[in-house]
Amino acid sequence: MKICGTGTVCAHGRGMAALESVLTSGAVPPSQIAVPFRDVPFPVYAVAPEILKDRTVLGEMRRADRFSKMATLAAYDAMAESGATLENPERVGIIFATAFGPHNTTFSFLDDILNYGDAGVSPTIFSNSVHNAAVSYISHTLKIKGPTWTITSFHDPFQQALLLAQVWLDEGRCDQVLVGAGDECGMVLNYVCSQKLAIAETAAQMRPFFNTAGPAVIPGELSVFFLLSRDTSGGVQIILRQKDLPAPDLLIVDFESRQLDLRSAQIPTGCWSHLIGATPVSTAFSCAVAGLMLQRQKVYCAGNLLNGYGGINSDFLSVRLQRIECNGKIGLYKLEEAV
Amino acid sequence: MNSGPILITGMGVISAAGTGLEASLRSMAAGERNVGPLTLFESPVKLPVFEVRGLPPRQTPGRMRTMDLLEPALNEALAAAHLSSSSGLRIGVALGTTVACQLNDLDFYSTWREKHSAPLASVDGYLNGNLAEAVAARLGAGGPALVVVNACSSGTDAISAAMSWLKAGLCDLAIAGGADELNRIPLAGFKALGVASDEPCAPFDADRKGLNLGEGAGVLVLETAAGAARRGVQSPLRVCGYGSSSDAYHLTAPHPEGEGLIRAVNAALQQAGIQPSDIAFVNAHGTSTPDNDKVEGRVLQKIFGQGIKVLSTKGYTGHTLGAAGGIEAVFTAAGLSNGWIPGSAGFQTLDAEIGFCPTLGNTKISGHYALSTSLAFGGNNTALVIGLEEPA
Repeated sequence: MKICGTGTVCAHGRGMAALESVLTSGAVPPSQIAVPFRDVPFPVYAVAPEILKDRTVLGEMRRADRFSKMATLAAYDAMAESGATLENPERVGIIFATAFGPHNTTFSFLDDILNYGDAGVSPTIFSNSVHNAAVSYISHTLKIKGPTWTITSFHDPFQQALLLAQVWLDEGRCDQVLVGAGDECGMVLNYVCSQKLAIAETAAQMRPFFNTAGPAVIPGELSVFFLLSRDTSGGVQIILRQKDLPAPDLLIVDFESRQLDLRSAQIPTGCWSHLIGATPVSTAFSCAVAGLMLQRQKVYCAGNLLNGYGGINSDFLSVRLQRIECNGKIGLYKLEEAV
Repeated sequence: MNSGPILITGMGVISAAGTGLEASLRSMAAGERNVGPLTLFESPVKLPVFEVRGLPPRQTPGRMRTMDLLEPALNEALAAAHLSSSSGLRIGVALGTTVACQLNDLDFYSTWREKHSAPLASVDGYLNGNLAEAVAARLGAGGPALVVVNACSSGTDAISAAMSWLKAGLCDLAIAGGADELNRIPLAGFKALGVASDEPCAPFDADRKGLNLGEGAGVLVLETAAGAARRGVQSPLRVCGYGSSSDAYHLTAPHPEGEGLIRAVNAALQQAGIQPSDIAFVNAHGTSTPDNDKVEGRVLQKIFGQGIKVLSTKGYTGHTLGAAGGIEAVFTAAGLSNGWIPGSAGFQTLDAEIGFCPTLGNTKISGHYALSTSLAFGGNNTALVIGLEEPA
């Protein structure tokens, strides 16, 4: 599957220029927010509210929640970066992967029940609380009329979305598929994270590979979309089944020591979680980073160089990049010719 | 790509119409409508619902009711397909839902809101309650696993995902369908949207006032003909075609001309390689809301003509949201297989704007293909063609 366009909405900003900028500068600090469940500020890689104020794209989405706005902006940018014109909107599909969906809107609906009773709830909030509201907004904004799906899973939701997109393209159901992933942070989920994960107490940022006493996590939120097509003639390709293909030049892991295997000792390994925090859809961001590196033929600094697992070092920066593997299962390849 | 047929080798279902396929068919044949007041939880919203009665007491504290509903349907389907939990096969799992994907426990949230701290049992139930991940873990699956959350078309869409995986060779066998529970959130939400009826639903009836919520699960076991043959299993039933489209029109209302639904139905017929005249009957989405039934009824008449046999089984199950596509696929397949479909419960008076009567009582069916349609929040339209092998 060829990556025709990519859109990103993350804590560091919106779009590929913002991504390249932060990859070059090498770090972004999380927001430190006041929370009612602990005395010290809580770190979160949150998308800034001003990023979601694009009236051109979101003009007809005044009632939409921020989860849908993040997704719509990323999808819009992926389509725009591709330069594709929608000549046949019935042949374009959407697959959006999320672990938690628009949970803040669900809690707003529960607030309505608690404040006004079951008979006093807002129908608008209810409509926006369903998981597929974001995709509905995307299809409406971009006038896409093919199959438009939302899928959910707590483990590798983006990979499942890619797998489905590949099947749709292979069986001719679509000519192009907008594939994306997104999740948002929120106060209740922050609380759940604080109870279930080792949340960094004082760290200024996530420090992948750095912690010897175990991973310290900072929750993050993002939305990333790719416009994919069946064109295998060149460009950056995503290939899911790669049994017989050569070893990658670089491994990218989502966060901390997840997915590190024996190969990591031999193959340079990078992690960019210090730019986005930890989210169940980090793999989509890793793929965006990989795609950009393959395009630019450049390895961006992974933040922490010494990790004991063969992390990226300065010698590697001169290696010609052709193959990058994300999350142990997704291969991105820069093609001179079809693989 | 596998170009052979995708067989339905097992089916299981649970809803207010009954626990198990045979009990459900008996109940529908007798015209029973198990609709009544809500007893599962307290709510000031007094609307008739289709509850599943007699589920065994919950074994695992905090487990979502949706999982309790899914389990008997899954067990029935696995038994029908002669599958054990440790088959050694590469199994794909695609299931649809709406309620089970949300962290929506009101007790947890109200406690957290008040104290900024709350027990996490319901959160654990949610995190362990992803239907596909739970089923995959139980079966030692190893193929793809995902939960489709396309609102009311989720179950139908999940079946198509399984069908596509099998054709692409991504798994040896697939579990597909949907499950959903009655829950306070959609009950209040649909009431607020003004689409819930305070009377028993009446799909396609001139005096229909809206939907009644229901709950349940419908599960299919799908496999390629070659895979089934290797296991020594046969079945004349198959999933033949699927179409899906987006209206790109409105978050909650269908396109007034049903433009997206027409495309979905035509795509499903095309994939099945059949003509509209080959369809023996349509198990329609038929929610009993004024908008849905008008748009859907007109589209069905436009594509299939006046004589097409149409029913909505929601008159027996209520609208089971993410489970609906799975439940209705099971009933559609059973209709083809058994040669009869029940009357479309609740219908009494012809709606001139729709222009046809659904089935008025148990109706004999002859033919080899049937269609099940689903329309959803967000403008999703889906159609599934189910087939019955023609005798050699």
